[in-house]
Amino acid sequence: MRRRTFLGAAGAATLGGCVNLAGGGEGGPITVGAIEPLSGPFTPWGTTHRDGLEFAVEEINADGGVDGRELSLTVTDTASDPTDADSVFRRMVENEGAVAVTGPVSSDVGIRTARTAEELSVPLLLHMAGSEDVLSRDSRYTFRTALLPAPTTMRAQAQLVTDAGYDSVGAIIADYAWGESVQEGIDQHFPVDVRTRVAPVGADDFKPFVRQFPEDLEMMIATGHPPGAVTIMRQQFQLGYEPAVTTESGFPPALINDALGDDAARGITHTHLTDVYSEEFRAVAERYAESTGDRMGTHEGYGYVAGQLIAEAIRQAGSTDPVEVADTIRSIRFDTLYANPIEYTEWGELRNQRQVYSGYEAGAPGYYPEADYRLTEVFRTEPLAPYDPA
Amino acid sequence: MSSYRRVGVATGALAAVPLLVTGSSSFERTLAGLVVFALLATALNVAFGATDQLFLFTGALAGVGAYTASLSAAALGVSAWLTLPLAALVAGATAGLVSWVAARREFTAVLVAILTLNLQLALTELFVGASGLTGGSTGYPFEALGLAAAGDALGVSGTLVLYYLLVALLGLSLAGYVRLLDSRHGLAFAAIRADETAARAAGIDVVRYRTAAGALAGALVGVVGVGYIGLESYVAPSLFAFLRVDVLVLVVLVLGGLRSTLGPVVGAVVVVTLEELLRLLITGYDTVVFGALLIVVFLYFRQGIVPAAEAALARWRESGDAEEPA
Amino acid sequence: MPASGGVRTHRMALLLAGDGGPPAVVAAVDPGQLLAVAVDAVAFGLFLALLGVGITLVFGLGDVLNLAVGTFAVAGVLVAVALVDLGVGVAPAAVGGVLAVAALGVAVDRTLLSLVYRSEGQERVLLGIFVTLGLAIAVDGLLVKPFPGSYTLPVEFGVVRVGPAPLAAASLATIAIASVVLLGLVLFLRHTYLGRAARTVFQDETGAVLVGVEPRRVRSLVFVLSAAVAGIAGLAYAAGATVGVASGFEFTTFAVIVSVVGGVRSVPGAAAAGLLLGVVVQFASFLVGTFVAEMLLFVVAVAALLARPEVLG
Repeated sequence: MRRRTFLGAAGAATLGGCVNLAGGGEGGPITVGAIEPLSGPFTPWGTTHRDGLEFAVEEINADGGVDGRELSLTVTDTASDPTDADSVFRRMVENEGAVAVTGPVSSDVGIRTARTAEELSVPLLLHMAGSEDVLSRDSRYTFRTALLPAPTTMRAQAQLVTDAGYDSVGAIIADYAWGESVQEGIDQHFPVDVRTRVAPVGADDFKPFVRQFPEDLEMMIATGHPPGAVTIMRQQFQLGYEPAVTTESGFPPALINDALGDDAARGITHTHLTDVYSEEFRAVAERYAESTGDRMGTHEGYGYVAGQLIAEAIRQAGSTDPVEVADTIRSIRFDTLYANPIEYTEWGELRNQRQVYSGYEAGAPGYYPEADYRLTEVFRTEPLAPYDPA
Repeated sequence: MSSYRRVGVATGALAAVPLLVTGSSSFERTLAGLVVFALLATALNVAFGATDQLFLFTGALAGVGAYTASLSAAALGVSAWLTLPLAALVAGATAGLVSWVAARREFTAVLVAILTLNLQLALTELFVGASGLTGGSTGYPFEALGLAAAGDALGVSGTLVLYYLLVALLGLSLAGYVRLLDSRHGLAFAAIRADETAARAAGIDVVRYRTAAGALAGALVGVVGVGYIGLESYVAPSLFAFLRVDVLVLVVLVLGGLRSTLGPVVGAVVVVTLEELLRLLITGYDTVVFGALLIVVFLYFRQGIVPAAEAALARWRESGDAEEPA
Repeated sequence: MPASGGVRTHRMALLLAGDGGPPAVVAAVDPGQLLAVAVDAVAFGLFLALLGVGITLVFGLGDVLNLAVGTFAVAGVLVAVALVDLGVGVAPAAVGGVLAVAALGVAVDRTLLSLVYRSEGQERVLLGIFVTLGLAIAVDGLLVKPFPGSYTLPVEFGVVRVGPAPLAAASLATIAIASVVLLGLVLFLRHTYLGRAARTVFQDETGAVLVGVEPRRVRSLVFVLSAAVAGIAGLAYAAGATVGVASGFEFTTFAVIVSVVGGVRSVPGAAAAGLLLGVVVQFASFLVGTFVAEMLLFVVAVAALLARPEVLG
């Protein structure tokens, strides 16, 4: 049911890739790149982000494109390998003239590609990649979109703990950059002692780790292990644990619902920036459902926002020069599907965003009546100050 | 054509390529990667080709060299050029130790393969797990070879500078390989390959020769490892993975021609060309083709391109001679 | 470490302290939980035993070290998951998965292995290694397209309380399935014609031919059997955990290590080694940390190789 009008164009762009197509030159289509994890441990994020991004590009082109020029999207699977992601990124910029690139999910990939974005002077819109090590005070070409960095996110969760008064909190973190950042965030901001276990990124059985926690666990933080979050949730219930709240880092909610079914309503709390309760989101989601027959979730929302942001930046800059596009993004104020308009600090961190925490309940949202679950807001933070690496 | 002449021609050809296609930085990176694999295959040619030690841990050894050089350079605050010999030493010693133990226990090629495969997997785990030292799976940037600065001074990219350094190393390594096989070491290697028991009975110290070959191969791989991270400007465990390095090096060597001097070079050219073609034509199915290639090469093409070409050339010459009037 | 910042210092702390926080032995661990971990460990051990037996059977019979065994295990799960998605019940889907893998085994045996068996001795062993490696890589590449993520069998497992111990029903199921299969294999090898023929070929191929056994047919049948065993092992694992295409290589690594430790040509050795290693690794993971557990596995494998190289010949 998906319309993949642009994969054809992407194929053509790749074939012509040897010659520098100067995808930003006069007249022809404007090349936008997506380096997504379409296989491997971070697949759920990559596929949903790509779907939203493709829809945005379709809508923009149906509407006449950007200043009369079509957007041409080229999507490549990185399998979350940082080295492969880096070489794909370079090829998109050097061979296909990509004006902007989006997609990194794993923080390892984010760290690696952010460095290259600065080197190539091409704007890179991260999808997740929430480790604070991705951005430095000197970053000028790397921008966050969906996940606030670990210190900010963990501070918000610490607030949740304080408000609820939990004593017994556990965390499982993955052995890579993001996991370590989450650990740091917990150490710095949490008001109670949190028992943590470290698991490999590719771990598929969390029973030995979950069993470490006391049976009266009140809150489980799966935020630090995105690829394993669903397995952690399944297995904790299988082993008889009943935490009141289980947080994740922003796992595509449809997949949590698919995997857990009714169990999703047992305290699983989705972290997101996309404001699914707003009118703008509902309108876009309805169009998405009409066009693709599928439900638009928070991560399709991030892909959609990335596409719209790039198009808007090109429009406002009046140019497809990546440097000018990046400058425009840095100073933009873009009202989209988030609670607050998108604004950036000088180094690419999101400013003044409200992070939303939602639970699952049976039922369907207005824009997709065939669904068997909907999100329900648990709380949203105040506009959060951006993390300053200095 | 004498072997040294061949080495010279090959090196010269590689040196000339960038002059024909200028300005594309991704092409330069592809070329440099090609030479890296030709070098690794040359090292494997010494271990496996010359002494039947099927090393399946070239990736890990490259990592050992890379981490040694980069971490000591950072700790001492010096250029990685100064710690390069240390990388060669540590990687060479590691491989030499493995060779020594295996030779003492009279391991067959298969046993060496399984032993080194285990070591490959263990070492890559270690690179990730010892994250306090190695930065874990994230890794860290690496600029300590000063390539960018050298490039700026010469008006070219750092990658091109690295390319020429690697080509020079390849020329030296290939010449060294020819020299090694020409020497009495080469004779001993041949005897060991032909019949190990007889060689031992004839008084050849099999253990010593195998250890030497292994250590030499390891040292070269260690140095190439540093070049590899210089190319990526980054050090991360995934660079040294079995499926990324070892399998490829093996295909390059066997396809090009095990025990032939230019086999590694020819194999690298063919494999890299194939990779680039696949990338352009069949996005996403490259692993399938690669797996199939592995099967086909080992089932049908074990002889290798260079030896097959030489044999064909010899037959052609012979048939030409036969037609000469008596 | 050529970088600065708090994250790096924390990594150092992780390296030194293990996996975050004091190990479980130091903090009070209740015996109920320990019993539950033991059950999980036995389940994992039996899973490893199945994988090890799968690879050992084939190597013992035909000198082919099947590096695609892990891919077979995963393929079984993926086919089962696809069938469930199409509306088939879990049990028939599992059977379907095993049958699919067995069919794959037949195909591989008819084509690739026939070519490998043309060589002899050392050459065959090397050829077998690389051909099955290429097969694993190629099949993984094909599977990753329709199955890019991680999958599990949609079975509702919960907790089974035995006294103070919260046992995982999934682990109990794995133990049950794996035990039945292992027992079945023992009976097969001891009491059926094919099984005894297999053991004869195992021990003395020439002798087997002399008594009228066709080694090639026996090898084919046992290869298909080993593929089915791998498929069942994968399904048993996926009942309690998740599985993806990348797990294939991981399972193959386990199988090779178990086989090496168990003596490479000994089926009972592989089973025992699998159980032992599985239990040790799971306990190490629980008590100390995954990193140490994984290193332990490799150390044991290397030690076994160094101690008894003659068995691989």
